Amino acid sequence: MGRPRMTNLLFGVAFVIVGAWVWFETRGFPTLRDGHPGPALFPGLLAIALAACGVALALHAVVQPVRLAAEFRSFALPGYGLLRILLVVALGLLYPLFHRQVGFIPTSAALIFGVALLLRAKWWLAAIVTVVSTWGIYLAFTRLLGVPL
Amino acid sequence: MNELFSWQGLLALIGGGLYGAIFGSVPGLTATLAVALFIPIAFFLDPVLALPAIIAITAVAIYAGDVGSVVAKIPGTPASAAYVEDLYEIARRHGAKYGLGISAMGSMVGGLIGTVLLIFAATTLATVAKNFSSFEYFWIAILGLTAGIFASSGSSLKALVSLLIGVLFSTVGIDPTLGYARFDFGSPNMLGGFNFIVAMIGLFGFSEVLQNVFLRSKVETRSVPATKGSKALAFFWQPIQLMLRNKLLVVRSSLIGTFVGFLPGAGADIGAWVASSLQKLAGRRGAQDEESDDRVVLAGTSSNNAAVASAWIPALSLGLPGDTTTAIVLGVFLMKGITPGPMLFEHQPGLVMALFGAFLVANVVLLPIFGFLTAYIAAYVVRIPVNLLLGVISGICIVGAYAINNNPFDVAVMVLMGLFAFLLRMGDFPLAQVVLGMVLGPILEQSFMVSAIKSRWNLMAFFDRPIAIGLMLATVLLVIVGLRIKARAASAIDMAAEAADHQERT
Repeated sequence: MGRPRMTNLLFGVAFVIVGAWVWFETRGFPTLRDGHPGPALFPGLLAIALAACGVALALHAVVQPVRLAAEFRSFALPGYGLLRILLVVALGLLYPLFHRQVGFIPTSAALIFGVALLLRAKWWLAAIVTVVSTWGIYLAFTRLLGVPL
Repeated sequence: MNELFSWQGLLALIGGGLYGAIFGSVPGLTATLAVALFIPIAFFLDPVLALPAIIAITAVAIYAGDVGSVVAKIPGTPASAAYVEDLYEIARRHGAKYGLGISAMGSMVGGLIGTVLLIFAATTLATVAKNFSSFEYFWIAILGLTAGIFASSGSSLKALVSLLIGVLFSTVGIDPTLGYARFDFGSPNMLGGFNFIVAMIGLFGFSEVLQNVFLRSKVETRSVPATKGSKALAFFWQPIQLMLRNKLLVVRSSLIGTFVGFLPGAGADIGAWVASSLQKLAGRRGAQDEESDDRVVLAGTSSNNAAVASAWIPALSLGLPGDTTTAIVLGVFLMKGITPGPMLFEHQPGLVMALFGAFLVANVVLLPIFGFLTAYIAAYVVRIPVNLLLGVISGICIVGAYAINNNPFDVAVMVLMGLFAFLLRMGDFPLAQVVLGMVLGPILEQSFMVSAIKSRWNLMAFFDRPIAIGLMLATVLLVIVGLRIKARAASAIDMAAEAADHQERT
């Protein structure tokens, strides 16, 4: 990412939060009949270990505060890159959300065309590849492999 | 074995080899991605056809990763990155056919040595593993996870985080002791936990698409360097002569690759880095000659294909993955109702023989043929527009995730796994360790809980049995050696940085 300390700090904090959430979640899990730990044991231990790693990552990041401060000052969210990612994720979720209403072909075509355009393909070339590949995938899976798309 | 040499079996091997050749040649597309995208097809094939096809894909794709190095100095797979500069230089000096010939011939011999060791080691280990109880399996899982931490070429802390995330993922769904639903968010779809194959498609396939969309990096294509004289001579005979002059190097590198590939979580990439780095070090100490670069490539390429084969040793005999590809293979085994491990050799001897046969055919027959073919069409293959191909791959990810259970929920899981893997990649967290955690997590938890309940929570029972103690000592030894190697690597990097600083100042 180019700003390793800042990235490590963000990931470290995120892992501490996730670890804490998992640990609190496991408090509601039942124990074995004889009182020994049951389903909570492993996720609980993992939560503690993950949070500890998060702390270690964050500490490693703040060990050199001058460098971290410099990275922090120049830190900016990767605006368009992030937007592109969210767009692809939204296109990917079209099929699970709308497959009943519109089916495989339009949702898959939207994703393939969208990804190609976001990767700077020429629109007409992207359109041709989208039509051919969508139909190709559809026929291969429905006719040859018997998957009801 | 008969099925392997039927027309369907040969078609699966040839088709797998061709698919691996094309996929490995395109820069940015890895052998793991090729295998992950093949899973929806494998789901509908007989295991005796699906698994040899996967072997052919991996063996050829790892070699074909060198095509991008020769043409554009862009390694096609991470395993090729270890010697990309050297291979590029060889191709400029002696032509692309000679450069790719060294890769193909080195891969063939490395793969063959790895296969022979696979046959002996897997059979022996499976015989020993028949006596394993839940105590031994617990220590094997611990050993595998520990190896996963130190096998990472990057930060051990980040590798540990990836492992923890993977093991945490494996705790989603019904727990093995009380049948209690954990982290299911009230959804019946989550009761069975994350489908391993669906997660793999997201982790390796969809995240690749997301990363490319995020970075939007352009692949610069260059011309293929011309080969002087006979192309077949440059591809086959000259590299064979080179190997004959460096027999010990090939054997040593193949043995290194076999050992590294055997370690869970390491695989071909690390094997290639270790062998080629050792050869570079040896080259620096000795006198430089015209063949110095050739030897580095020979070391790396024979090591990575040996690792491809040896990664199957723990997978077949213990049910533990040696690398990401064998992790997918374990998923295919389970998908087909086959339990990998020591009993596989008793219950499915035909399948085991077919797998060994597939390795021999893939390395001895397919690699040279597809290697030569790929060398011929290298210029065209690297020009395949990756932006359009990634669009198609995103579509295959969707249909692949859906086809496993015909469940649209799996597609959502795949997409979100892809997003999560993309974030991990951005933070330099290794993905192979997430997969290792997902595979070893259930073995670790189940064997611990069974052993603990069996011994009435007397935890000293974990140190009672001789094989269990041996495995525990092996884990401790691995930690000590791993820490020493990491410390040496860190000090070498510091020294190199200091030297660079000093040079800049003067």
